[in-house]
Amino acid sequence: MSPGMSAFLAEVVTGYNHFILVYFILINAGYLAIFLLSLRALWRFVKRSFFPDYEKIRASDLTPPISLLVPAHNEARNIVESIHSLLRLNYGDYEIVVINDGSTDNTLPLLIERFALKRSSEPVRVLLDTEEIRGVYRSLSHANLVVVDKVQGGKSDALNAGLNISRYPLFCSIDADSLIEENALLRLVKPFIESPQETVAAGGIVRVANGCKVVDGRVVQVGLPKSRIAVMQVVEYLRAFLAGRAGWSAIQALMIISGAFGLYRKQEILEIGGYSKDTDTEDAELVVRLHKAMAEAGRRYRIIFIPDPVCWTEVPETWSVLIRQRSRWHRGLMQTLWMYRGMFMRRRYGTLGTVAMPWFVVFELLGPVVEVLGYISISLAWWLGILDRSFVVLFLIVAFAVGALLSVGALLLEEIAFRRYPRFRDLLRLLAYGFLENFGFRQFLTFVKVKALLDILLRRRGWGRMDRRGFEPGDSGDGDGPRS
Amino acid sequence: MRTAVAIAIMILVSVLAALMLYILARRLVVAWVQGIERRRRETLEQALQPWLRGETATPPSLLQRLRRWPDRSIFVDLCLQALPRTDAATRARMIEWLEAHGYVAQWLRELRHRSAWKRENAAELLGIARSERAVDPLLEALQDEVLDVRMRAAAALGQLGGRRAREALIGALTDQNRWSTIRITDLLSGMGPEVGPELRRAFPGMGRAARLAAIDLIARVGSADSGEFFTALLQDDDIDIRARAAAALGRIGHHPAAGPLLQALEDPAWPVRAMAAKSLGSLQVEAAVPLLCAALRDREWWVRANSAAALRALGPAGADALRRMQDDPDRFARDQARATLEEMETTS
Repeated sequence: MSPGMSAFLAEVVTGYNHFILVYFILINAGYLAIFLLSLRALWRFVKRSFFPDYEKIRASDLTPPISLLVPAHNEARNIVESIHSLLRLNYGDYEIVVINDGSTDNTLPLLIERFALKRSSEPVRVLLDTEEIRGVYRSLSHANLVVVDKVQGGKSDALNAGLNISRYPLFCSIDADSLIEENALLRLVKPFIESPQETVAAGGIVRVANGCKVVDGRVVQVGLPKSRIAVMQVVEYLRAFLAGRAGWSAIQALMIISGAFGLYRKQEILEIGGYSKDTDTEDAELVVRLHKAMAEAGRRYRIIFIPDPVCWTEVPETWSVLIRQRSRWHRGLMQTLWMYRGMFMRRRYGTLGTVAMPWFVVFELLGPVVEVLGYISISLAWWLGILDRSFVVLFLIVAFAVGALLSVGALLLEEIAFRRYPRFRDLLRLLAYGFLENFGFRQFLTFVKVKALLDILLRRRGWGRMDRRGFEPGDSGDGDGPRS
Repeated sequence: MRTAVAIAIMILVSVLAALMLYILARRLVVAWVQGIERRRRETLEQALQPWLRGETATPPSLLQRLRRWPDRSIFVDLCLQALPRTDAATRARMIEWLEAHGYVAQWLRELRHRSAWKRENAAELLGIARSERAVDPLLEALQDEVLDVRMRAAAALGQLGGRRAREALIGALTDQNRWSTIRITDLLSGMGPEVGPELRRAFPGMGRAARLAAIDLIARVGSADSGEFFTALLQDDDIDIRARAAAALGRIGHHPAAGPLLQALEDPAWPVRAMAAKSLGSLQVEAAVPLLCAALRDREWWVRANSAAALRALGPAGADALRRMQDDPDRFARDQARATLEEMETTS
């Protein structure tokens, strides 16, 4: 290489390294701010929940009935357990609408057999266009269970079909591989009762079911999985929900409600056309679209995260499934941000447009790219002989320490507010993994996100295959979880 | 620069270590404290049970030398658990003891505490203790800025009862929060038949949410002339008020309302039609059969479902109508009729 070229390259590398330093300070200051917002919100929440009114809510005539929409595609392993868990929910009036989205396994025959389903002749009023509905089945053993069998059209299409069938003013989307805690609906519905005009959507927390003991569709003993990948995700989920979404929700800028467990007002969702089929993550897209519609209509509204209604879900225990899941999430984030780029930095859309969306673009979307380029830049600097090794080592120590601090901070929130992992050994493991995930796991996910970006740029797209083993220790799946 | 980064590392690592230690220490301390509390609770429970159950009128000597921690909170907890279950004499004795030893005074002070959580806790305790001294402070607490404090104060007043408490709770129905309206409605429904007339007197001055709640409440507690009152409300401009009034007429079994309810079955608003159909079924109005059959063709599922249920409730006349509707040109009407008949067969 010519000396001129080397000098130019050295200047570029040095400039980029300075940029990385500023970027690093900004992103971590941002995370710290979100963490502090979450801490404040959770503190208030815990104090408020000292005397729960849940039994009163259940008993009240005025508690709104809820339709639970459960899209299922090849879910034979988990579906019976999931429905049993839903049938046991402690809630007044609710219906369960399972949408069999063209399953090729024995999901439908299994449902017919286990829940005494009988084909119904009832017509369906089409409020949202969907793929063809082959049949509607009602359970003879459980009056509030209905199963819709339809041609495969994807999760969004299945949810739209469920919306067409559902009868109640509120609906809750639930993944077929998830378990909802008995009082979760009562906890989730509370803001809809307190401010029925303003609250349009609410999401609960998704926790990792791997490692927990499940009996009759109910988590009876909370524990950590043996798999290291799954434990890393336990920490990750806690950080994303308790130290992330709680903070975003506090400033009215919640961008994602997990598809695994979200409660919505049906009317508003029908008005905006239901779920979109144009994205890989229909839940995030729906929430952003809802924000947009509400803001444009000039309505006072709330889209909130509530930290104690719990949905337990399987997380992947193999690298290949994890890669597919995270690629899909990151692609979905990119698609959503691109679709709603018009909201970016517009005051009309409140904190979502002026804070959350810029944050997600600059740090969540581009962050992985900046990080990977940083590794390349360091390598180049070393190759060019301009690397300040001791500074790089110090910088990496700071980066790891900040990462660990955020994870341990999330564990602190969990410990203060919920303490769901009763065994001391589990707490020690969580703390250790909160530290260890910064050495390899986080970097691995960074590369996965960059790959997802490349997939989008090269127009490669797909849902990936879902591998599930059912609710037993040692499971793997492709559940719906935290995303940022 | 290097020094700054080194200092940053030291601070970060220290904070990280401190946090981890705090989490672990907290878990250990909490477990230790809970162990002590559990053991002490067992001792206190054993010693206090005869007094708490009213088997002895003399307070056990242990009560004179309760430790500040954890005895006092355990004792209060035991009292509060026992109070709702004890007879009036024992309750009066326990409240007297709580008052004499400064517990009630302490809770009254805490009702003005700057921490909302303390205020909420105090309101809860005062409600369970049912001390007459608490009425005025609790009325004041109904204006608290924090919803949960208002709710606890309302619940406490509900437990205390009396005209002043009732009037205050009726006034509190106008609270902007829907949940507080629901809770206060529940409380008022347990405060005796006087609530009905008092609510009707207050009705004209109420806001919309309070009116809606009041309609349900009057139907629940019953009141003379409430039938005429609800019938008049069927002409209200507000859809929800008309719908609630229609539902209330069925609930109280006001047969003279059959005519107005038949008219309400053709109301432009579907919630009113749905509730009118339901009430016509409850009132067993056979003359409603043709209109209920027509309502099976309604665009709204709730109207169709309630009309079919009403026909079912009418007995043979309704069942015949449902059978005829199986051949109706409208597929929704046909389906609703078939589904209801299937249900009837399954049930029978």
